[in-house]
This record gives sequence, C-alpha cells and structure tokens, in this order.
Amino acid sequence: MAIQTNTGTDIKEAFIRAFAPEAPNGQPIAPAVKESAAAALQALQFPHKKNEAWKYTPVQPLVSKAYIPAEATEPEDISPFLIPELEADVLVYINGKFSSAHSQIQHNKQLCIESLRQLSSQGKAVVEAHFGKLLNKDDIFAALNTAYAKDGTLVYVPKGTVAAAPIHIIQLTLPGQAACSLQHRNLFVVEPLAEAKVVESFYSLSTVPSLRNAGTEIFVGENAGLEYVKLQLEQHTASQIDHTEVSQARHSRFSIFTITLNGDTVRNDLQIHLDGTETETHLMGIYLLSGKQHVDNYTQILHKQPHCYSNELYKGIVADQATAAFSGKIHVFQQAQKTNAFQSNRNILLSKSANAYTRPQLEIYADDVKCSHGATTGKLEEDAMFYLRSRGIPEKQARKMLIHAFAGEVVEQISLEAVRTYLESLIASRYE
Amino acid sequence: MAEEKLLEAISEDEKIIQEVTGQKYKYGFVTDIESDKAPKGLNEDIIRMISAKKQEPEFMLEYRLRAFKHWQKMKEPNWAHVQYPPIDFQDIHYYAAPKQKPQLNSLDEVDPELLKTFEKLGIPLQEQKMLAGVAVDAVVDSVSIKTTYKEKLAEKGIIFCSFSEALQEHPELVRKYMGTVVPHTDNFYAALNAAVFTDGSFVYIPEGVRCPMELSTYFRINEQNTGQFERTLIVAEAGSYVSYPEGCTAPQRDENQLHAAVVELVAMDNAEIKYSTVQNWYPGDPETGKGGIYNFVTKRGICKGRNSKISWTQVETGSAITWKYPSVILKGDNSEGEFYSVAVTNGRQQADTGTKMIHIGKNTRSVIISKGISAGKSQNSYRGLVRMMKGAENARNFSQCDSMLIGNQCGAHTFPYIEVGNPTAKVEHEATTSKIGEDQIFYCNQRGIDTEKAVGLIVNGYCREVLNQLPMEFAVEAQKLLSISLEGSVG
Amino acid sequence: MLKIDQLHAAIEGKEILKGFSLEVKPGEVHAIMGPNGSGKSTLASVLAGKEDYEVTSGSVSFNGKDLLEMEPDQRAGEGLFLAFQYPVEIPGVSMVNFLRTAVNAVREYRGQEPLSAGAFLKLMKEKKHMVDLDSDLTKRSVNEGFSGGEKKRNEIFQMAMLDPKLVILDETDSGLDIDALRIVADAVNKLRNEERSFIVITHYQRLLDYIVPDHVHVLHQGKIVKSGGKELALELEEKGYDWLKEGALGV
Repeated sequence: MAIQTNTGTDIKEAFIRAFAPEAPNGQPIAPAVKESAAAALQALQFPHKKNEAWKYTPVQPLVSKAYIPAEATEPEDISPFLIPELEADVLVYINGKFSSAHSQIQHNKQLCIESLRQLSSQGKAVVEAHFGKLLNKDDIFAALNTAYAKDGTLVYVPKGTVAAAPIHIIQLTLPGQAACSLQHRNLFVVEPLAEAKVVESFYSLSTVPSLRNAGTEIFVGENAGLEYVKLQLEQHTASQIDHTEVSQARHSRFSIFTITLNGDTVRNDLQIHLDGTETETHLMGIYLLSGKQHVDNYTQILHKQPHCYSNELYKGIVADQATAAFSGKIHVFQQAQKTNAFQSNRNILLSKSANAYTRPQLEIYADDVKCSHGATTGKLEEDAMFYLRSRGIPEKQARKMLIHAFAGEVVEQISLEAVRTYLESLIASRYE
Repeated sequence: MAEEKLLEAISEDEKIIQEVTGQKYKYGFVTDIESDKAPKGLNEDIIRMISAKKQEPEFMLEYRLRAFKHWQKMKEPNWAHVQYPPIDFQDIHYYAAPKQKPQLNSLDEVDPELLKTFEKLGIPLQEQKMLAGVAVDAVVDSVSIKTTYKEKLAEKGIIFCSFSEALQEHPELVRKYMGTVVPHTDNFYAALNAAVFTDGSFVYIPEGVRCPMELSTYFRINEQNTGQFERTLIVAEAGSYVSYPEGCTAPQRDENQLHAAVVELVAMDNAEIKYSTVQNWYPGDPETGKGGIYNFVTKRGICKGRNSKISWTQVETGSAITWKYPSVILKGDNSEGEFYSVAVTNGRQQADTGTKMIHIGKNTRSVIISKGISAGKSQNSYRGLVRMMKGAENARNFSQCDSMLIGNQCGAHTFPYIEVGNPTAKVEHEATTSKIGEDQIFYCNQRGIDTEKAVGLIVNGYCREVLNQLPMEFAVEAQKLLSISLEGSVG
Repeated sequence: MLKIDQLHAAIEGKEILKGFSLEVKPGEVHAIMGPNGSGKSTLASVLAGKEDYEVTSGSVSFNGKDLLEMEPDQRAGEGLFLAFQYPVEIPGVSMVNFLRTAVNAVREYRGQEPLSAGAFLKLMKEKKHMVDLDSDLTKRSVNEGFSGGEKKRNEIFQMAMLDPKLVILDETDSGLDIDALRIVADAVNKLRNEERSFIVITHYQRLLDYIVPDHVHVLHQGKIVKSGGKELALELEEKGYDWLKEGALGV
C-alpha cells in the first residue's frame, strides 16, 4: 500500500488536521487550557534540523506523511498483551480509545483510575487542577497533544494512600487503511505520602505506518513515590513522539524506566522538575535496536532545589543500520546546592553501520554540587565472548548472555518482579 | 572475604593514626658523624677531585666536565609557580663522605651512631626487615654504606649497587645508558647533577628476570650546606620486571639545602619498571618557610621496547620547594606510562609537580592521576604535558587532576598542556577542586572521631587511588606522612 | 538524662532558639514537630555541637555533665548520637574503615578495649541484619553515591553500631517510602529500652504510627509552644500549623 506524502506549506496544516479532526471546544476536559494550546499551535513550527534539541532526529519525513486519524476498531482478544503474573488494574486503549470492555479496575478502590473521556466528578476536579500545568504549548507536538488529545488515563492517588496493586495501561494500535495518527494523554497525580506503580505498554498489529503523539503529565507530591515503567514494544511500522513531564515536590521519589525494544522512529522527551528539596529520581532506559530503527531519548532534569539526588542510566544496543541518540541535560540552578546528579549512557554497536550519538550536557550554576556523567560506545566485549565460547557455549547463546547481563543493570532496578521477568524474556529473544 | 582485607588495612591505618601525635617535625635531628668534605664552591678542580676520590674511569670525568661547561652557559629556570631567594651555587659543598670509610660485612660493623639514626627514622635496615624481603641500599651523604641481599640478587644476574660501584665494576653498562634518557643538556639542574653527582643507585635486570623483591633506597641529607646530587639509573632488559621504592627523610636544618637528583629508567621490550617515591624532606619552618629543602629533580623513563611499561608513583609531603615532573617517553608500540601522584603542601611549602607523557609509538597509553592537597599558606601546582606525536596512532591518555584545599590561605593551580599531532589519538582530561568540608569533619566528630583523626581519614580517602599503587609497606609510611604533614592545618 | 534549660542559640547573629526547654528521662521517646524554620534542625545541631551555631544563653546537662562544654566527639563518646538530616559523603573512605574508627574511638572514650577485627565484623553483620542493610553498602565509601533512602538507613545502621544513650533522629523519615520507613522504625523499636532515649524530629505524623512517642512537642519560633501525648501529632496532621500563626496559643 502506497503511503501518501504531503509537500509544501500545507504540511503543518495537514498534519494538524490529521491529529485534530474536531475543534478543541466541546471537549470534556479543561476547555480553556485546550483552547489556548490550540491557539498557540498556530504560531509554532516543526523543529528544524538546526534546532539543537532535534539534531539527531529528522522531523520532516515523519510529519510529511499523509495520516488519517486511526479508527476505533472493534477490539479483539487482549490476553496476549497482558503481562503474565502481574496482578494489576488494567486499562486498555484501542487506537487511542478507552475500551471499558477489556479494562478491569478492581484492586485499587481508594484510587481514582479513569479514562479521560469518562471522568467522575472527583476525576474532573483533579484534571481541572492539574491538566496542562506542566505540558503545555512551548513545543508543537506537546501543544497539539494538549489541544486535541481526547483520551488517556487519569491516575489519582489520594494523600497517604499506598496503591494496593500496580496499574497497567495497554496501548494497542490495530490495522487501519492508511497511515494513521493517534494521540493520548495521561495525567498521574500522587498526593503527599502516597505511593503507586504504573506500567504502560505499547503494541501495534498494524502493517501500515502509524504515528502516535503521546503526552504525560506527572505530579509527585510531598514525600510521595511513583514508579513508571514504559514499554515501547510496537512493530517496526509504528512511530512515536512522546512528551513526559514531571514535577516532584519535597522528599518525593520518582523512577521512570523507558524501554524501547521495537518501533520505527521513536522520540522520547522527558523533562523532570525537582521543585522541592531532598527528592530522589531515577531515570533509566534501555533500547535494543535493529533494522532502520531510530530512537532518540532526549532527557532533561532540572535541579531547582538543594539536596536533591538524581541518577540517570541509559543503555542501548544498536544493530544493523539503526540509530540511537541520547541527550541528557542536567541543569543545576544556583540555589540547588548539595545536588547529587549522576548520568551515564552506554552503547554497544553490533554493526559497522549502526550509529550511536551521545550528548551529555551539564549546566551547573551552583558551586557545591556533585555531578558526573559518563558515556561509552563500543563493541560487545570480545574477550568475554571468546571466553564464553571457549567454555563450549555457542555464539548465539553467548551473545544472549552478554546482552542479558548488559541490560540487567537497568532491568533489575524495576521493583515489579512480573515486569522484570516479562522484560527479560523479551530481551532474550530480541536478537534471535 | 573482602571486608577482612579492608580491616587489615584499617588496623594499619589505626597504628598510623596513633603514632601521629607530636606537632614537631619528627625526623628533625642531626647525626654526629665526622665528614670528609670538599671546600665550598664549584669549578673544574672540584669536579676533578670528586672524580679522583671516587677513582672513576676517564670517560666519566670527561662527561662531568662536558656537563659542567654546558651548565655554565645555562640559566636557572624560572617558569615554575614557585618563589625562593637566589641560590649561590658557589656557597655549597659539592662533596661530603663519612670519614669512616666502611667496607662492612654485617650490621655490627656499622657506626652505632648511624644505626641509631636509622632506627629513629624507622628505616628497615634490621635483620627482620630484610627477611621481609627488602634489600636496602642506604645512602647517607652520598656514599653507600651497605648493600644487602646482593648475593641473592646476583644469583639471578641482577645488579643492584651504588652508582660508584657500578662505575668500577660495570663501566660499560653505565656508559651505554647514562645520559640517554636525561642528557646532560636537558635542563639546568640535570646539567649540574651530571657535573657533580656523587653517588646513587644502579639497577640492571637481565632479560626475562622478574626481580623477586622490592629494591629500596633510603636517602638522607645530613651534612650542613651539602648539596645532594643523586644519580639513579635503572635498566630493565626485555621481558624483565622490577619495583623500586625510594624513600626520603631529612633532618631539620636552618639553611636551605639543595637537592638536584636525576633518575633515568630504561625499559626494553615487554619490560616493566615500577618506581615509587615517598618524599618527606624537611619542609622548612611552618611560619617562615626557613630551612626547608629545595628539591629540583629530573626523573624520566623511556619505554624503549614494544609493550613495555613504566609507572611512577609518588607521595610528596616534604621539601620547601618541589620541582619535579617524572615523565615517560612512550617510544615502543603498545607501551604504557603511568603517573600516580599525591602532593601535599602545608605551611609555606611550594610544589610545582606533574608529569610529561610523550607518545611516540602506536597504541601507546598513559594514565595520569594527580591529587594535590594544599593547606596553610602553601602553593600547590600541577603541571602536566601530554604530547601525541605524529606517529602515535590510536594513542590514548587519561588524566585526572584533583585538588583539595584546606583553609583559605593556600592555593591550588592546574596547568595541563595537551598537544595532539595525530587525529586518531585520544586525550581525556578531568579536573576537580574541592575544599575539605567542615561538614565532613563534623560528621566524623559526631561519630566520636576527633578532628585530627578525621582529617587523616578524609585525606587518605581522597588519595586512595594513588596510595593503592604503592608497595604495601610504603603505603603505610605514606599514609603516616600524609597525616603528619597536615597536622594542625584544620581548626 | 537530658535537661535543656532556656536555651538560646544563634547562627550568623540570627537567633533561632529562643528559650528552648526540655527534659528527657531515660527510656523516653520525645517527638518534636513544627513548621519549617521553627528551629528543629538547629536544636539537633546545637546538641551535637556544630560550630556554626553559637549558644548565647541557657544550659544543657547530659547525664549530669555540661554538654555545651564538650567537643562534638566527646559528646558522641558520652553517648549522644545524631542521625543527620543530610548525611555527609566522604569519598575514598570505606564504611568499614569509618565505622571501625568510630566504634573504637567511642570505646576508647568509654574506657573499653578496642574491638578485634573478628568481633567487629561479627557486630557489623548482626547490626546490618537488624536494619536490613544491603551488605554491599559497607564496602562502599561513606554515603558516596548512596540514594536518599540508603543514606537514611545507613544512619540507623551506625546508630545500632555505636550503642548510644540518646538518639536524635533529624527528619530521618523524610524521603522514605513506606517499606523503608518500617525498617527504620523497626530498628528504632528494637533499640528502645529503659535506658535509651530518643528525640524524634519529623515533618510527618506517619512516622509516629510506627515509633510511638511518649511525648509530642510543637516547636514554633524557637521554643516549645505546646506539648502533649501522641494524639497531639494526629491533631497537628489534621489542622496543620496555621493555627500557630493566629497567636491563639495556650502556652
């Protein structure tokens, strides 16, 4: 099936139309914020390749495709997308639309876990108070999402509540007739002294290209904790542009795992604001690429207050003609004394035509801080490989072991055992 | 179990800390041995006298005279970040030897006064220390007193003797290598040394031999107004290995003493030389800086052969002025150079130290780890050159230069020079400057550890990477010195 | 055990404690709560002997001795332990080395023989188990690269090692998730006995569900404005501290 391409000045207009079939007014949530984002969109442009933030990911090929909004197809059996042994509240979205038939929310009675299309009055109040406060209109994709995303997940954890079970969000893309566009928007609000864990996994069954423009806003309250695992497991036809923005209050803890095992072009924009003192943040990532995949992780951590700790570790394996880019900005504001920030990006290239770009950026305006960054790019350890093989382990098996060990440093930090096991099996079969 | 190992090390730490008590320079005493000394001043006659006294071969005298002529044309260097009054080179005795010419077979025959001195210094010259595997060539005022374990080394064909002895017994080896790494034209002090050096050590490790013990030399400066001009030459033939720790202590004196040593190392194919120094000469009066040693040393090694390795480790706590850049010329392909350094300055001390790594061969690698600690009113500079020559394909260097400040009247400076002439070469440089934290000391205090111990603990932790490179006994002494030299610098 | 009388203390000329009085008897647990800037952490620092703080008047006696006359390490020797709000990193110094030095320094002060390597390791193993500390942490440098939660647990581990008489927990619960909080509270409860006293400084009433205090005090503008039993903490949790500002205090 041939995919249409837009050209000329109407690229942006066509693109917006594909993602925004309806006007922003008449939306169920935060109409004022949405309308102002829609207005802002008019003035925003697609990032040019000279734009530093998009240096390693060409936008043009991605946005010039003629997309049509994905249709809400009748859902099929979703059991292949469940994570074995994971006792969780499950929310299923088919082509961006919530499917209540497949979703099951039974464990967390004290929490408010809802689709943005079906908000309760409590949910509505939370959305009104938080929607668009972080992720708004500085970036064309974020603005588009804010203005026009119609569905997604609200997770609200009330003060002092420890979630009884993790929340698993499944985002499923089903086949369409032409290149399709999707959007969703999440809002996670964890109130003071509350704790929760969210897993979001992405799958696609489509053979035609798709582009998902995702947005997630997260508020972690005082002394609260949130762990968020994002599993990008879509097919090689699926592209994604994701914006995740987080605000952490004093004494809070936040861990995010961005795992990209598949997909076409994936761009993950992650921005974390440390708005209170003594916070703890872990930013972890794994990407295992092959074919012509292109994955760009663009992360920023803003140390605005003293005594905060952040630890960032992204590890990737790049095969064939795939490209991995990692940018990690650590911005330490002047008053953020006693900051402790670590960053590390490790790449293994499995072929000569694979590419890995690493760009650590440390911007430090305080004088009593401890920041470090490290980056390596290399081949799979030949010595170790040889050693294993000399002990009779076949090459394929040896490679599997080494990849497992390499990714293990990140995987073992995930607290949910079922997710760890699931991920380990996916990683093990990744280069078969 | 790793923790038990850690504990062993700790018990050592503890001993050290307990020993650290007196505030005064511990090694400040003068041994009373009569000297046979040359008149003050420097001219051709003095050089002839030195050479004659030592019954040197003719080539040596010629070499000395050549060096002297060259030296007379040279100017004292002034680019280092140090300040001192001009030195009157005619006001120095260039030769002194203990009067009792010793030809000794056992310790009993050694001048008891000298033995006492050694004991105070804690030099492991006693039998039990020897059994611990340390062969000691103790040098007091330029003349070798005793060489131990010579026979055992001789069995393996290893030559370890004083430089004078080497000139008598192995003139061809000395002639072949001396001045090939540090030519007499190299710099002002190297030229002076070449002209007037009185003694030192000579080591030759034959092909394929792994030296079975640490070879140590203890230096002291004893005679008033005596310049000390040591000369050390170590040659490691193909496939050989040697570890050479050198330690120094000097008694307290009122007048500045000049020390201008030259050390040359030569490593052939697959050979490795590990040279460690603990330097603890009198740093001068903490208030006025008066009386300290001037330590102007030229140390250089050449990795001549393929896959050869030279490693310098130094702990510099003494001297009023230190001017020292142990360097490695990486000539052989795949050769490796290392420089691990701790330099502590307190009181009025000034140190300008660092290294040079000259990469000539392919795939040559070098590592520089430098830890500077400045306290009191001292000045501490790191000066390092990394040069990648045109042929240094895929050469690599990693440098890390950390400075720690104690108090706010001292200075820490870093002068890295990086010259890259080959596009495939890779040079990495990291530098940090930090202040010893009052909050760190308070944290230790709150756990019951007093301030003096706390400083020792923190400083030793900071220097850990370098101290780990030292031979075991040396590491203990080095830790001790770190604590001693920083006494009274905090709170 | 501890008697603080009309304590006034200042930092950089600014008075923070303005007539603070408190008596702690052996075996008691006192919780101190209060809004930001009320002087909670200053109190901890002054008791431990941090130099930046100047005691302008008042007295503190600890087991009959004048605490304020002592150096910080002497106070530790006497049995005062402070679990720091911001534990300090000491690069290159292993936890084992640090603790051994500390334990033996404190033992020396108390006239006890130093612990042999074997006895020390045994003690460490026992206490590590007690606070559920990852055995890897003791091999690392003191607090270096520890996450917030690891640092706090490390403080509790040190407390267990040093056998103190009076423990001050300065916001040890801040930044801990519920599991880590339980571990910390368990360790404290195990160490609670008739001799040992605790001063628990906290923002969050939740900690006091696990470490049940004998007394709760509200600190405001440098002195205690209200004292009560554990129910006072619940009341504070509900009402916040705004009522303090209205000045309607029943002091």
